[in-house]
Amino acid sequence: MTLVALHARLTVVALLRRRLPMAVLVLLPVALYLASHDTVGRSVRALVFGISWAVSTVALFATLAARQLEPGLWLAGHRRRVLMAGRTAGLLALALVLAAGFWLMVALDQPLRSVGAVALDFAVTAAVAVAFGTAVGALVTAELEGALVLFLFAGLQAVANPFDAWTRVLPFWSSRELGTWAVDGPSQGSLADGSLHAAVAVAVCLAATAAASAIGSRGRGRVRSGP
Amino acid sequence: MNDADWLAALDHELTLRGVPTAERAEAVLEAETHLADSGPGPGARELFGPADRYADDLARAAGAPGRRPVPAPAAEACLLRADDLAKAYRGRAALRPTSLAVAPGQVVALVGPNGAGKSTLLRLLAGLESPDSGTVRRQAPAGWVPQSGGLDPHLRPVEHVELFGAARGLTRADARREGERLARSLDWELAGAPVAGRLSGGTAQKLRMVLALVGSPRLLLADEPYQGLDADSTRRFWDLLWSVCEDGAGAVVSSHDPQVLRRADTVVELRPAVAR
Repeated sequence: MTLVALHARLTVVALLRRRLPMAVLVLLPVALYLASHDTVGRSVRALVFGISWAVSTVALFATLAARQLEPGLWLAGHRRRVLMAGRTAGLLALALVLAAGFWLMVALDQPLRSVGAVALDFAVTAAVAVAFGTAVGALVTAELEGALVLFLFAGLQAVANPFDAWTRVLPFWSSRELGTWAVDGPSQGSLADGSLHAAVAVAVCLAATAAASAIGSRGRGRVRSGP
Repeated sequence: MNDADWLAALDHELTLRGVPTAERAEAVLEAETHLADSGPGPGARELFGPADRYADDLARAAGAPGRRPVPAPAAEACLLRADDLAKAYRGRAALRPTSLAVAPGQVVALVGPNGAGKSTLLRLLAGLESPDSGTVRRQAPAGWVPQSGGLDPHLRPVEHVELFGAARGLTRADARREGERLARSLDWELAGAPVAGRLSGGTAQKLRMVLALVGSPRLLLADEPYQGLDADSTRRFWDLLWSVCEDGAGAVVSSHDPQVLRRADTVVELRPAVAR
């Protein structure tokens, strides 16, 4: 097993042992979905909103928890990028499995225009949520601050008018755009705009995470090898 | 600590003080006989006091040379060398300029009161923080024993061992085997232990030591490593530390316990950089 795979596996194992947060991770999107069950569009958007918030929160907590363990692992010889890649891979795998479960629920429960398009929306949302939660976890130092940052973005996403141009700075704008495309068709939402936005959001989050990691490893750079 | 452990500790302490084998065996036997003659009343500790102090008295009486001598490290032989490291946080000095070197086989103790900068110095040596001035040169990856934290509360000890062993090139099976050996030397069974979040403070500290030593790093950096350990576990920690150092590793151990002075090869005394 490669180091990345080992980290990914143990990231998932550690998360699955946090039973209450994992239960909330599942129940929150389902609760939002059921509360908006009257129309397909509303219920799918609510579910996507729940996925984005729940997955990014789990990614945040996993990133902050890793701060305890990782200094010893760096000193033992693990590279930071291997640790980050393993953690991200584990989180992404877990998020995609959850997204697949939610997709199955919706596919069986609602008359979707395109089950494939909804699957794409859920998968993209899960990926952006992992990247965003990881970035927030890399930039803040405590769970409360991180949770409040996520709450801020989630709240803005929920109340803002999606047609306002400024809402494109929100990380999950793509989720709504892809959701609209998936549910209402290409005349209402754009696959290209949603995909591009998601790619940029993931890239920005990865860059922020890498920058925070580089700042954190400055001390290591000051330790020279050799006698 | 029961009598058998106390006698083992006495034997170990006498060894460290260079008491020859025959005299050491005689001293231990004499103490054992005295204990047997005393019947079921007071234990060895009540009769003789702490093993290390009793060993001091015996070693002096025997004219033994004291703690094993370790030569001062030559620059090229150092596992770790730090020159004039200093650090301040928000303008408040946390560590005054400090230098030290660690040779193979050497245990360096950092002593000083709270706020003297022991933990800061160790974090600088580890590269977990940047010094404001000074340099650190390290030959190899290090084992790290933090005062607290350092564990994932939702992973089992064997899973921690797999992670740390993998960093040092061990397979999962080899890492588990070595972790179990190290844990046993600290009187703890690794296999079947619950997740780290459910371990007692002392057992969690044993796990930190096992993780620091699995894969045999050549350098150990330990910040108050025996906090939460009972006397017997502390003795076992030193036994383990000396055994890895005898195999060529070096160690820096911080403590505000004056006993560490008797156990280290070199002592670096730190003083608070600012009035507390």
